[in-house]
Amino acid sequence: MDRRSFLKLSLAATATVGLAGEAFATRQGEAGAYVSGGPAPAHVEPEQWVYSTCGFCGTGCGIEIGVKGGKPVAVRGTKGYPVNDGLLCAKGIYQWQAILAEDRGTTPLIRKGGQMVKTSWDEALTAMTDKFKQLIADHGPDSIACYNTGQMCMEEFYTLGKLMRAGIGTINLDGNTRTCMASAVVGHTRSFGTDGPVGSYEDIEHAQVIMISGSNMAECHPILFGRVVKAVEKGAKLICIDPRLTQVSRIAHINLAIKPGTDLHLLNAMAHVIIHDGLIDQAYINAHTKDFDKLAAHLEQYAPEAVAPVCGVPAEQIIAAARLYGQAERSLSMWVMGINQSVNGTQANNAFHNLNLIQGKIGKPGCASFSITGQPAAMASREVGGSSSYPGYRAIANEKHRAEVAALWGVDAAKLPAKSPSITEMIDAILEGKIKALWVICTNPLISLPDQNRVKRALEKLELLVVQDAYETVDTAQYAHIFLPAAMWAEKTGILVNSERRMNLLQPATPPPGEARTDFDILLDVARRMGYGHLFTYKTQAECFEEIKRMTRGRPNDYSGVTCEKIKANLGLQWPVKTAESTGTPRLYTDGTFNTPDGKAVLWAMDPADLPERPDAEFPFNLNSGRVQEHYHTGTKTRKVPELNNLVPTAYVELNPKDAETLGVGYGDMVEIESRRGTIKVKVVTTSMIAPGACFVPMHFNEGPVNQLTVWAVDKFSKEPNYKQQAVRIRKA
Amino acid sequence: MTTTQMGFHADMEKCIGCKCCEAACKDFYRMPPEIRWRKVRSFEMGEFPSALRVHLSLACNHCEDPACMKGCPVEAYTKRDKDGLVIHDPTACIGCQYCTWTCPYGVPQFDPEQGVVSKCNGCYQRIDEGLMPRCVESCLTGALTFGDVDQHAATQRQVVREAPGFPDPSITNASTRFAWPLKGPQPEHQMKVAPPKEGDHHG
Amino acid sequence: MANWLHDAQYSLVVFTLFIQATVGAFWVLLVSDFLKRRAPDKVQDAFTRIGTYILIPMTVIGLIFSTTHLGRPMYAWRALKHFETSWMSREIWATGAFFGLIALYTYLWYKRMEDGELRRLIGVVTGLVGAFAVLTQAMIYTIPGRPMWNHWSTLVLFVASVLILGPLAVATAYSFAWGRVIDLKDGEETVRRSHRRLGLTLLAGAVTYGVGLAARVGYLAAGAAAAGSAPGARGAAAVGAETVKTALWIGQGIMDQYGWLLNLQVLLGIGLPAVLAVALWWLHKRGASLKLCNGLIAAGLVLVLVGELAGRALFYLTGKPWF
Repeated sequence: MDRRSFLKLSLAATATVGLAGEAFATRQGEAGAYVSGGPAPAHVEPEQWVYSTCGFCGTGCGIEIGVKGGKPVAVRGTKGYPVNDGLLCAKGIYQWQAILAEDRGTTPLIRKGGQMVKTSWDEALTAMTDKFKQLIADHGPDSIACYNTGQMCMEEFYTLGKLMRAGIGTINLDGNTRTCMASAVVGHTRSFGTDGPVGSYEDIEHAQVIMISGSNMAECHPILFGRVVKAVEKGAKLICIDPRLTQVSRIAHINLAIKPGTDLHLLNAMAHVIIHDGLIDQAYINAHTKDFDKLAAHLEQYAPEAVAPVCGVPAEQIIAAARLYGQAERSLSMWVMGINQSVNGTQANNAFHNLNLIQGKIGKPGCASFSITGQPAAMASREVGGSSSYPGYRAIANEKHRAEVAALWGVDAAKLPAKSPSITEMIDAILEGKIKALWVICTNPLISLPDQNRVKRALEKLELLVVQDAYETVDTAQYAHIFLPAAMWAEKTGILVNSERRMNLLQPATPPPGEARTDFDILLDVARRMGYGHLFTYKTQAECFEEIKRMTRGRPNDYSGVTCEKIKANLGLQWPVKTAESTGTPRLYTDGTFNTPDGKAVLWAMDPADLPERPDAEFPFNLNSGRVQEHYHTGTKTRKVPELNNLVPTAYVELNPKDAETLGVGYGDMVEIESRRGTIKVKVVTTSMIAPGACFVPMHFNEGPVNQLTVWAVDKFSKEPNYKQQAVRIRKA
Repeated sequence: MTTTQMGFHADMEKCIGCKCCEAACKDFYRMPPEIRWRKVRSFEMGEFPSALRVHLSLACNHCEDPACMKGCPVEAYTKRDKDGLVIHDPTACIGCQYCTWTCPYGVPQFDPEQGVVSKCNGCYQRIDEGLMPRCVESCLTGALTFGDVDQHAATQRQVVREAPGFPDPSITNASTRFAWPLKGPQPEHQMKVAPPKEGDHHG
Repeated sequence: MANWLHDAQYSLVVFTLFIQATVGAFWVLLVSDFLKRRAPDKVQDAFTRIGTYILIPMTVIGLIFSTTHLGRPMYAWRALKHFETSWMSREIWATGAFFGLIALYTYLWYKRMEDGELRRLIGVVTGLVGAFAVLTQAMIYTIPGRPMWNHWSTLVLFVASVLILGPLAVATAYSFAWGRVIDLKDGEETVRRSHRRLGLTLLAGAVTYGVGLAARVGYLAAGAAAAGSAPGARGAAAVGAETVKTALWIGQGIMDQYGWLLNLQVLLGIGLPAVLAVALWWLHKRGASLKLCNGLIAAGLVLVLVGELAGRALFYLTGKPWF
């Protein structure tokens, strides 16, 4: 072997994210800005600590914001908080820096002569509401659409939902929760009658077997995975299902590195084994579920031996995993985007519920089919009608639910929208000219929706695009006609809800910068200007929450016994909290009574839908998209933090070393990745964590946006986009 | 003479490379973005589908024979008698950066803006208050612990001086100890040190 | 570009080379001083005296560059503190003492030229202190923390710089003095003799340099090969003593990456001095013009300095952090 190739091989062997990351490191911040006095790094002690909740992921850690001189200077985990007990992940630790970023919006902006210029709130909101009124008059309320988020607080979701449905009366209200949790929402509804995650994080400590699927929990919900690692140390067994190797798969006792998009095959096979081994709880099945016989008969075709070649894992492994899960007394399954963001998302959710239902492992400690949420308040949005439902887990299409809501709101039920298209349908409606105005709140669809070129065309076509966000530089604002600067999570009051239904508080640690206002304020202002002031008799978030309680009384998410003081005193409250004495409900369906009309959970017999796009001769790689530990979503917050950005500074693609060699590229080289929809240029990271023939691009980088490449296809039940499987080709750039 | 040598123990099986230890340390001491007193290095072994990615979280090894201290021309380093922590005094430092060479582990780091070197100080002020170092406190999985190097064996499943990729610890008698990942190559020289008998002094 | 220069530690490149050149220049002058002890030679004295005038400026340049390396140069004097264990502290003492002594020696030449005994005594001490200074420099780098430098070849390479640059600097000074300060006719004999001696030292220096560089290259190559053969030793999976080989492999890789510096070093730092030595010998045998020889020497100094700078820069570049 000559020296050149020896070195190449050696370099490949040595290549580590840490070491090579230094080669890519770009300086983002100013040195010395964080060094307080003297020639050495020194601690900065806040003057006071403000109780709050983390603004990043759906784990929902309790935090305290350290304030000094009126500014946030630190964040720490709340000691004793049931979720994290004082721990925080790296993003959480640095989140105070995101608030102080230079590109925070401080004044409204309006497009004049092609440029965005500063303007007053009055001019901006007048322009916005005048246009809304004109469009409603000329084309009807459905010409207006709103795409919002999972990161506002409950009161803001509720106000927005009421404004859009009861005020404006449009069918077009959706949130980025669609791209994230819709499959889980519809999965819950199909299995249990309504949405609502069934378990508690403490099930991790109780479970004997934990199964984590489609989730790089080590990087995306690190606090939760810390609890899993500790549980494994105490003797719990871990099963991992993921086409990609991660820290989850590293410590797993059984790792099923299945081929992309074959989760439902696998889950059906596992259910097959459990049924055949007689590991079912027949009494529970009879009392609390229906359609078991149909399911059992359907699963005959899903024997492990038949499924193994499809999944690309040995039948023995499938059987071993099924037996491990089935034989344990307490089994917990958790899953996130790898499952949800697929044309089989909803059905896979139902398959997880099936597995636990047929074993009676729901509503008991350590037993749950537990869907984990991505955003810090997506749950709240789902609960109070922030996107495509009505408050109280009431369904858009359900006439009885609409009547209840209309009665509580004092409006005409016939005027309440009876359907709610998904964001992909709304984008297509914009392209068809049916939607003429879009109001984007606290999300960045230009980077986060699939098929970016299509989204660009839609944004360009709009007569009015209003972007309401904390950052002026949010990518979607490039197409905006009006920009409204909004407050961030440390600058307002409100309630967030995490994956385990735990409600916690936001409290302001600092005022919003410049003229930025809370989304709550902005929404109420818009409502008044649109002439719907009569619908909004509340002025504060506390008053709003009282109204929310009335809306949800008697519904699955009953908040009757919740007050802000009680949340703080109890360190979060898991709904339902039906009475003043109640301190919350760790688990749902503990008595086996579900929210279906007959109280029984539904066991679904399902066949997987075919993937929207498989690798072929022209586009031979399967592209997976996802996240890394250091960044969040489209990076609008984390890329402003030099410490995080230095760790992972640029867009990249993960390639197996064999594929890299075939393509003639090495670690750090640039490649062009092309799909039928678009092209990006990114750096190569060679890693053995990914299978040959597959590649992985994180979603966080607007200079190499993976959604240039992703396919425009959705789950037929949930309309959630299929971010995890599409065909691309790669060549050296 | 150090009566007790304190040091870190990093369990590579439990370490998931989350870098909370890095972040907690950096944020507590407010160092410039490029400087990391604790670094988590990741590396891979093997091939898909049985490849492993493992992590080494390292700060200062508070060596028994610290090369930084020996080579420093201005005596900016001291090693505490009571716990063997090696501490750098930035007010004495002239920024010659010799310690960045003599240390085999790349621990001291030079800040061009301030003109001095800095490194992990074992959170000695917190130790004196009875607290743990920030990195240990913030570890999500309990992979990182800190204590008397002779006592690790009482609570850890494995105590080894060497770790994959870690420069030869015998150069300076580093006080950091490791437990290796359960999967993959295993250490040749396992060293579970029995607790010291009475009258037994370290070194 | 700036990054490359920074990694190559340009301050220390200049510092070490200039101090080493000064030591070499001093040794040459001291030898001259002793050689004509028994047979006084006014012309030789004149040349030697002028030769001493380069010592202080060269040292000053070196010392200035040593401070530009420091983060807080205003406290540089503190470096005298830790000589008990720190070779860097000892280096400051040695270099400082050397500076003081060459100043004294130069002063004695300038003001009390007739008192040769005292001067030569001071000179011997100075020469020893200079030798010690070069030793401390080499010992600074011979540390286990940087395996790529942790080898006897480091000292040999430093000594080679002493033997090549110093005499060349003195010879260049002589060539400037001749025809300006010292009469053309008077000085011719002395200058020719000095060129012969220069040739000898250049050859000795080139051989030393060749041995040192070959040893260093061999040391890195052996380490890199050993790293390559042990499974896992190439990269992060090396364990314990094996990791030292990883460092050597890294050093080897940088040598490859900066092959052009190595080429400059060999060509101009080793090849050129040897060629120059032979050329001088050959030219003088033919009675060639002294002006030509002086020109060659001056040009040689510049080019050899380039080679030495390249070599020293490569030395520092290979010593990158290995963890």
